Amino acid sequence: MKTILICTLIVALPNLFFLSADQPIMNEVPRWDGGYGFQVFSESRSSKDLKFHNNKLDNPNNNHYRKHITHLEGVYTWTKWIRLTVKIPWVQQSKKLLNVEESNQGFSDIKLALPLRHYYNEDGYSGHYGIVPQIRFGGDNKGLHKISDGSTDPGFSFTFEKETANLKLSADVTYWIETHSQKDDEWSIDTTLGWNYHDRGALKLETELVNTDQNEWIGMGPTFFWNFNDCMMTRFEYKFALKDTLKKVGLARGDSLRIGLGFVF
Amino acid sequence: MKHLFKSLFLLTLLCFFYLPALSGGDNTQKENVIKSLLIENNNMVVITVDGLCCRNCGIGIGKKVCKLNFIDTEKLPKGVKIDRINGLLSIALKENEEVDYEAIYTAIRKAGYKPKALFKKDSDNKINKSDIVKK
Repeated sequence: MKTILICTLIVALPNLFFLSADQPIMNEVPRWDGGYGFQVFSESRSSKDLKFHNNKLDNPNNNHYRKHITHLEGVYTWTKWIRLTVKIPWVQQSKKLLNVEESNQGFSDIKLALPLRHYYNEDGYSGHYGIVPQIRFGGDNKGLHKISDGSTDPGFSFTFEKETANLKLSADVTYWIETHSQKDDEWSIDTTLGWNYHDRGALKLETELVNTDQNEWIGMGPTFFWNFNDCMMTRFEYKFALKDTLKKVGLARGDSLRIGLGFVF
Repeated sequence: MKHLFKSLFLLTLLCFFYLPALSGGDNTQKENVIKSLLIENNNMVVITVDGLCCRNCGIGIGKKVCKLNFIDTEKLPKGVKIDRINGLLSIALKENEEVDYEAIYTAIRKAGYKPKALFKKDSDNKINKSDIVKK
């Protein structure tokens, strides 16, 4: 696994000079002046694995967590090089850890981003590289199992993408500067290898590496995208947890499933 | 299962080094497609568009171009068809309407792409090509 981490960093470091996807609708649109849209994603995660570092611990007390996140995301593109995105996650969770059981719900961190991209268009291929300054505003931090730490943090991403008629490749690196005094900064790396198997559809293999002050997680899995009518599109993704390491005793993050519907105008 | 994903991940890494070298289409195939499109359809023009290799990313072209009043939205899907394999844009024009080609080029640029050359059929059924230069 260390080899994979090192390989990821080797690949991602050059891309720090380019930068980051995962902003507009379904990672595909809108690229045109005055384009706007919104999407709703439903994300589910759960785990019963009690862990410390990479070691699975006995779990006789049935410690567990279940999290359902509804993401509402919007985008407006002024011209193709500058757009504004907003991401609002609503979290419903139930968690039992170390004999503390609680169910709660509320807003997680709301994110505002300003993706700045340089597109290049050549015969047979297209792509972009860019930088994304962003900020996240702390969400609900009441209760024992807090949904958010409540802090407002700045962040930035770098994105790179190249696409031919059949293949698509993208990578982005994101870094969040934690203003919460007791937490470390967060960073993540996403890579996508996609196949445009149809005019309206794509199959992708996505990998996500997330490093927070609580865990290190590498997820990988298939993504299916379909454009119904140039206005409505859908996306389905499943990520298997390949690496799920905790820095202190806790519940593993587990696999994740996301299903979304987006609209663009 | 983990071994499968490790292999797929390494494939992704390999592609990072390989894909940037990919470029360009087959020009002969492209010319043949343009020829057959124009021969089979009257009142149509074809534009080669640099970077037009994804149908979904290019839907803005349709949204912008179909708003022009000389586009025949009864033909093709709303008067515009994208061929992502060859990077071609086919546009159906209304009969006996004056065509503002600069407006088409501007619409393509506003959709995020670079129009390169215009192909149209003249009255003798001969296909003419004109390069598009940004003014």
